[in-house]
Amino acid sequence: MNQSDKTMEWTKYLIISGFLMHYVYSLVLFLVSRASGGMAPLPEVLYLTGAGVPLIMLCTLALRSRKIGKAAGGKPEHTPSIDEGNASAVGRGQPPWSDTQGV
Amino acid sequence: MIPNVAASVGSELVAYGLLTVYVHSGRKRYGLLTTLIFLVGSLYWTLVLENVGVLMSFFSYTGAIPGSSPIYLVWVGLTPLWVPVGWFDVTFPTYMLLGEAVPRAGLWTKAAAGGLVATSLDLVIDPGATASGLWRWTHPSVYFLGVPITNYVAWFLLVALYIAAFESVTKGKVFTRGRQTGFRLIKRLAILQAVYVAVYVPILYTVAKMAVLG
Repeated sequence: MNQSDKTMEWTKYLIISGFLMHYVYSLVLFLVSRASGGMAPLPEVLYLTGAGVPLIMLCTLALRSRKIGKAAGGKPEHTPSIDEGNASAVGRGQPPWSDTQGV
Repeated sequence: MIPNVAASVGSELVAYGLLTVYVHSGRKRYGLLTTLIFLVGSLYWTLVLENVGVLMSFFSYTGAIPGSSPIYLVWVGLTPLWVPVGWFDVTFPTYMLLGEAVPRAGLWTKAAAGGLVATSLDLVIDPGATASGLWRWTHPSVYFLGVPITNYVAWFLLVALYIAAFESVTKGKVFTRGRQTGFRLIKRLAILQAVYVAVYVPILYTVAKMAVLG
């Protein structure tokens, strides 16, 4: 794994952590706000927990995309969304539309 | 109810803290220019629509709890800056993770998936924010956990349209002329804002009418 791959990897973990933290913070804010009137009813708690399923699925898929690349023994599967214009940049694991040349 | 001030300050700090994390991650992945274009575009997109929403009395950011006044650091017009920043905090990671999870998805598939994920997160954000008094809904509607259901339609449309606009402007291009790309994005967003208002406001009024009558 070269330096660029490592950067892609840890920024992905950072983004996922931030995303999940945002979800947990909002959940806690709701539960604490409701706590003065007693605990929030179970259906509400279940609803709020269930609402997080799509974002947890997205995080799982994003994590898996890397693992598949590794398991196949090939280049990691990091292919950012806008990657059709510049093949040389894709080879370096750098989005082609990026304005930096390597990280 | 937790103190209004604590929730206000806490949420503002979280919004700016996440902004720092995402801009840093975006800079490492896509470069500063691309990240800033996404940020400026999203601030423009939401600040205009948020201010329109306050002006049209759909919601308010002041006096959320009787006798209270949320303490927000920076305001742009009638909207605290952390609100559009918080919107970026949802849209940017969604967009980045979609690039990882479904890199070959088409523009509209990606836009719809982004809208869905962001709305799912807002299903949690909005009830918490409303219950804490961070903002106040001021129009008749069908409410669930203190939040009008039309709010979720708005979230889906806003995120899906923004991702579609950003993707359509940047696709297949190297960012060597950031200013040009930025202007192109802003122009496209201005058109989409008009489309959004034309589509969303009638939905909102229809639901409001149903709520009043029903």
